Amino acid sequence: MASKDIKVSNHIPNDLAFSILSKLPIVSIKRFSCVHKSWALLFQNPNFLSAVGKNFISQYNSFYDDTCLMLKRTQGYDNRCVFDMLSGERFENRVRLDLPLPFQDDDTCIQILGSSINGIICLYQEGDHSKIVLWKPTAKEFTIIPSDNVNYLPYSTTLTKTHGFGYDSVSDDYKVIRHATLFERDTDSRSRNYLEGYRLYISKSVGKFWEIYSMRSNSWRKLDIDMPLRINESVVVYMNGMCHWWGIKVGKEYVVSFDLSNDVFLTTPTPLDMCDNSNLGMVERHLVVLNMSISLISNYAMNTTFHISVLGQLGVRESWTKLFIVGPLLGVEHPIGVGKRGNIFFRKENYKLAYLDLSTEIIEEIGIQGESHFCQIVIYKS
Amino acid sequence: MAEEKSQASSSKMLTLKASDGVLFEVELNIAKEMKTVQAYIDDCEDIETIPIPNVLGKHLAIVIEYIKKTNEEYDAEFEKQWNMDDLQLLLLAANYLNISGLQECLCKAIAKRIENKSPEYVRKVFNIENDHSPEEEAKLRKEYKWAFEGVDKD
Repeated sequence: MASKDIKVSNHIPNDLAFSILSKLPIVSIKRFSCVHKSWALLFQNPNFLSAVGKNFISQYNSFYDDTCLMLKRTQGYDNRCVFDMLSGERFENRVRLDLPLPFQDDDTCIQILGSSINGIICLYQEGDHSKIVLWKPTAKEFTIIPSDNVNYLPYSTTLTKTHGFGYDSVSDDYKVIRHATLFERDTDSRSRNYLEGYRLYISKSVGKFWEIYSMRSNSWRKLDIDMPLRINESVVVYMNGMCHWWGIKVGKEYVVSFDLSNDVFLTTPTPLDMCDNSNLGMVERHLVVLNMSISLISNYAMNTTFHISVLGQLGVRESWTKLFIVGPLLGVEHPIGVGKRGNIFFRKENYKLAYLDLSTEIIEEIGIQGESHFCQIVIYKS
Repeated sequence: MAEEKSQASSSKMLTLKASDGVLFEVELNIAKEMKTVQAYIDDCEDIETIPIPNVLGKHLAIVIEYIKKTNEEYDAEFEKQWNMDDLQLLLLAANYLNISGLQECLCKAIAKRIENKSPEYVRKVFNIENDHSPEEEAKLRKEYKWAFEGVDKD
């Protein structure tokens, strides 16, 4: 009747457009930059990006259902490790875990590699005989990964660096990636250096290669590949069939992503906006997974303002999008892990552990102390 | 007389008049969810019919239904029934009537509908003219080439 003649304005006002656009995923936002100049401008606005970030963080992802946290802390000058499982909304439920058998005699310097996959955690202990154990704490089961390797030359010593633990769904296999450097065995004690439990041989390196362990074949296989090495004890993450780590090659830093199903890797350089040669000093970077997306937490050394960028597409440097700038945060040191809903865990200067809730930007302590620098928190899903 | 009055005040009904003249009788507590209507009532206590000049009858009906039924399940299914035009008009209605829950729901729905579309489609949806020069647009498309993979055909 009359409704055909009466036209109600269809024009969406700016505040509603803001609200709609801030709910889009990063890839859509980038694509829509060419819709209109005002949009391209809006998409650079930190307030807008912060709204995008908050929506991104709070988006439901079923992966995080029924998860808890595994906390590793070290105590004493020799870095003896204790493991706890944390659960509950405020992590009030704590269960101390018994270490699996291989580590019961020597519980020093154990590191968690990545996070849990089907309830399995990969633990490794660098040192004389690098020990790697796959551990299922809920079932109290473990598997020791053999460290002897036919790829190693006789009369050589090997320095290995584990780089990733993951699951290959194509071959239904659990795999571990490692880099090995072989040295001439040097029996002259004068040329040995000891550094944090590692033995650095000044003798000549006679070979370097990557190798991959397959649980199905229970053996290591050499890889004909040249990838950037993991930076020190930086975090390794696993997601959707790929292992990712923060790597360095020829002084340049990258996210390295290794596909377990086809042994192919790709690299993503650091975001362009924060560079080491700025006069604000060195940039510290932490690779994390936020709501199932590869992300980077960066801060200038000695500065507690954290810049958080999410990677829109693997391999594409321009797709890094800075969604959060948080801080300065009082009394926090570096991140020790990420929980669900983008909760970033920190160890504070007073040794107390706390998490930053990205949607409210509030820091909450969890009532646990972490004595030394080597705390790790990972998501555990059985 | 006194009886009638007390009955009226315990389940007071209000009449809302849409832009096309359609009338809706709603309970007071439903109407109060529309903050704009609430403000109207606060100003003129005895009012019985409130004009809603910006909203068509068909949309007002949907809004009232939403307020009555809203819950997680309902909200998840709600937006699927409407086309893009209606979604936008409903959003404008929710905005005018100041119903924040419905606004959020609709903003999310519209975002979901456009997230995999082309810039041309989005311009049509928001009734925007492209103000980039062809060179500027080409430059942006090249810079964000990776964001154009797998986009829905218009």
